[in-house]
Amino acid sequence: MSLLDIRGLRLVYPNGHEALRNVSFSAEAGEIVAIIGRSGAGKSTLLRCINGLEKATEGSIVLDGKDITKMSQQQLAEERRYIGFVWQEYNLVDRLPALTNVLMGRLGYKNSLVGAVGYFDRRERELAVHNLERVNLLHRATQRADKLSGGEKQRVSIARAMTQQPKILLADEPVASLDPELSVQVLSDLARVAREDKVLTLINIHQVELARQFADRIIGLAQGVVVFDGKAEQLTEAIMDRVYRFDKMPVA
Amino acid sequence: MEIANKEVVVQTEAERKGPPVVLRGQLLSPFPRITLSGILLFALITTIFLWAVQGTRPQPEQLVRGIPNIVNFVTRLFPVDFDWHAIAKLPVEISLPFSIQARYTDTLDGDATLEQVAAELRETVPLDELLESGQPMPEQPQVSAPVQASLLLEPGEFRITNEPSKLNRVWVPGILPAVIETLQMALIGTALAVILAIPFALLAARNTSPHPVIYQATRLIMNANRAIPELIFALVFVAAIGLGPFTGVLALGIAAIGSMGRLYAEAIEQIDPQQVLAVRATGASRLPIFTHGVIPQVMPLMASYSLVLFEHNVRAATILGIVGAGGVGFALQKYMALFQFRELMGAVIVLIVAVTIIDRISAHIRQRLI
Repeated sequence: MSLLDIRGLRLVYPNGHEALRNVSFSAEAGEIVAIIGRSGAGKSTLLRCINGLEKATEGSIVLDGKDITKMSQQQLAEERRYIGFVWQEYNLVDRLPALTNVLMGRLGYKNSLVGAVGYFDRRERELAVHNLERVNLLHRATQRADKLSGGEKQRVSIARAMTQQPKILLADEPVASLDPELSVQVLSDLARVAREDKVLTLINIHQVELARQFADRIIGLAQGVVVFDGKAEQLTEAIMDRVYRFDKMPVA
Repeated sequence: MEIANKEVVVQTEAERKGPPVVLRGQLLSPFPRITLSGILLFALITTIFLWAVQGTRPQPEQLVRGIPNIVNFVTRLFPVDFDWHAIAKLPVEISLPFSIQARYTDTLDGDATLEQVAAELRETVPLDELLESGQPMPEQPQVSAPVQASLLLEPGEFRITNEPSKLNRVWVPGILPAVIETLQMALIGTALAVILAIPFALLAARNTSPHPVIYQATRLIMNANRAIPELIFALVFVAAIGLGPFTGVLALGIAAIGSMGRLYAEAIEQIDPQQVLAVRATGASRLPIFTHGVIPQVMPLMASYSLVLFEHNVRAATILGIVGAGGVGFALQKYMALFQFRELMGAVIVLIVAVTIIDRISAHIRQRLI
């Protein structure tokens, strides 16, 4: 059985918008999967379903043998420790130092009182420091998060997710707010640490070239439907049309 | 955000109707255009103010007649009398919140019992000298009989020298102890208010309140609380638990729940929910989400509001003494009642200096926080 197995996933928002219809795919540990598609294709919704921020209307998301769609809020909170999330807008806690932000990756594993007072033991600190080091940001460890540049913030957020020692890493448009050069650097850091730890990684991304460059496999979403699932080389111009220009409209 | 939205609206309207009509002459006119709505608004505001003035029953002729009385009062404020007192050392009184054990070995008169030595120690030896245990006494008595003495100062025991020696005498205004008590009340009253207000704020902030009903109920309680001034709470507590600064502390602590709770709640509502969501996504439970996602974001605002409250409480604590809830107010009222206006002026000057110092320190800290 695959590490992640999504079957017939459907999600309808309360306003009637059908964000995902019948999405199915599986992925193995260590794979790096890029999810491409236009804005509103359901990429973010898919990731938010996998970490339980959105409740699926139908279908199943089985991660490591456990169905996320069947979980209670309590169980979800416990499962989220195994799901790293990297956000487009970084979402670091601005007023806390980079290292503390990274250490937050351990909060899901800790007794809530111990976590609340901010006590992290030596092992946890070593892990956090190691992860900051891997994204080349150890020298910024004591800086407040709001003093970091965009690229640095995103690396801290990658380190935070890796400190969770996740089974799966979800990255929602991780480089959409960065310039092209930084995008390549941040994505290569992300891909490198994910490969080192053999973590299944799903990356939402709209730059197809970057997807080809860093991902083992590409999934194309259009209007909530999987229209392509295969290796980067198989992504032809015709398929690109199906992903991006399905309605024959010029791309904005 | 609002400005950005407005710009968008202007653009879309401009697209629909073409560019808005702006009269060149209007732009050049040095006077504002008079419109009917402008006139009505002006009339309304004027009416409200006139109505309010009439409600306060102004009596300018009485003010004129009262001027000699005011002059008389002002002349009687001088020369200022600070009611100087000599005291041994500052701070004037230290009430020990813990016990101190001091041991002392020396040769004293052989007739002295341990109790006498201890009593003598209590009378004469300053506290700091006692703390250096094992040091010999400065004056060596003649008779040599080794005596070991130990002294235990229990919590709450005072070490005050009422008859100061000439060496370490300090002159202070007589009102100073009361002013210091006022500041102590303000500090502890503020701390109490902050501790009490935080849970209310959590229940009254839309994004942390567990249920809309609880949210509304908490807001209601806080509004009611805000309508009642400190002085009323002080009167209640004086009646319930008696006179003294502790009563004042309780009044200050309770009276600020409403206003502080509301300010804190608004600070909590302004936080970036995405940062909290990110902490939640790590699998953290409620309490760590709060301490790592919410607290760091609201800390500077909350600390700043709390300092403003402290400044306010220093002034409020002055008033509370008038109803017997501790602090300088009692002395002020006494001076007034006994027509000791020179002493009153002295006390007021000391108070002004103290309040100014506190305000400056607090403003300085606040600047560094934001």
